[in-house]
Amino acid sequence: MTFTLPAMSNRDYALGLARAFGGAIIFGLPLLMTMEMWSLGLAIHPARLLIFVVLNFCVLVVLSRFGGFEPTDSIGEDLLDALGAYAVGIAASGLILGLFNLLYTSMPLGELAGMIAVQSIPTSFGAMLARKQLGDGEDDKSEEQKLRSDGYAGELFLMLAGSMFLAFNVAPTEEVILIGFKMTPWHSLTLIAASLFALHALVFAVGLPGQEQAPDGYGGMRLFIAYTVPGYAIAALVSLYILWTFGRVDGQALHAIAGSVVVLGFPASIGAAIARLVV
Amino acid sequence: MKSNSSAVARTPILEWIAAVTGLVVLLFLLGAIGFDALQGGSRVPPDIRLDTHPAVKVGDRYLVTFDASNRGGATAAALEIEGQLTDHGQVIETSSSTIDYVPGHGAAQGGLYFEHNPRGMTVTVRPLGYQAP
Repeated sequence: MTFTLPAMSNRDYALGLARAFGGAIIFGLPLLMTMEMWSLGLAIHPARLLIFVVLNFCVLVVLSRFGGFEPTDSIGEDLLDALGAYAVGIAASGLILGLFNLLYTSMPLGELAGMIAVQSIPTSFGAMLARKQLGDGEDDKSEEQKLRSDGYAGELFLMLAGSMFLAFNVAPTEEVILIGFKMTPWHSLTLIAASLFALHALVFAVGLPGQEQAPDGYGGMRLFIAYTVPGYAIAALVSLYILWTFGRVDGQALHAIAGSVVVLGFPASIGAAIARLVV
Repeated sequence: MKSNSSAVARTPILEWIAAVTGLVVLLFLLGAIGFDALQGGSRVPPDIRLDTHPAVKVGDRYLVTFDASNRGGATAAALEIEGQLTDHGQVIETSSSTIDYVPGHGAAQGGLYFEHNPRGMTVTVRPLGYQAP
């Protein structure tokens, strides 16, 4: 159909882009309006920022497989979609930061690029999710895309994407480490239990739309070991990685790092649990 | 139980890998925090040790950078650092710096500016006080 009606498909793509722009702004606004994010482009280690931008791109490509802002048939199209999402994310970040008068011509180019690069991570994510969130709903997801995300690996990947998104939304603020310092080790241990419980309950018990049907022959214990524990580990590793990217683990003792990971692991677990809803 | 064991036999290898990795990460977190909880180390008050580096000239003034390491278990927030240049017991100049956080058993870096060249003079750096986070 796309080949027989090229004019129509251009219009469709433009609509998709407009939706993506909306998604970028919805998902990006909380961080676009967070003070720490404005200086983060400068404070963050450039190599770590670069790695994160590349990693985010890879996540976007796989997300596109599972239903990006337009239906795709090949990896090539997914690459194009991810690039498109980044383009929209960068444009939306630049536009909003410019509107807020946060970009100055006197800024060194490196600072300007860093500031927009940091913001483009949540906005490009939003651009990619726009179709699911702002589109006609689940029906325009092809059967094939549904199948792609249904396997065990797909499930783990969705958890990774969800935890990355929610953890990234919380991580830039100073509160994450401050909470870590305020909590005693006993609070941290309780928070681990609470995160595990929330993850398990949100995925399997409370009946949110898009909730997982337990595979046949899986008892409660096996679900816990096969989904909840790896899900929490993904959330913890994603948290550690994001804290490292923001330089929050440098010069810290092991138990302090574990404490920060547990604090950020809480929103990350919630993100992992509701990934199905959002992605 | 028999039907269960046949299901286990068909467990995909990825599920094993994910479950084992997950358990390792979880046990590591529990171990690191549990050890701290049992030791009660984070109740030991901050004990700040300051190591200064040689002064360097930056622009019109001189910079003395330092490493602040905390040998106590508790975190020192808003740590005030004072540096003094003394020449044969006479105070020439005083500078100060505030460090946001020095975590328990962790470290942070900072710097002090001086108008006079610290070369040939004595630089003394000491922590003044901190805030509990």
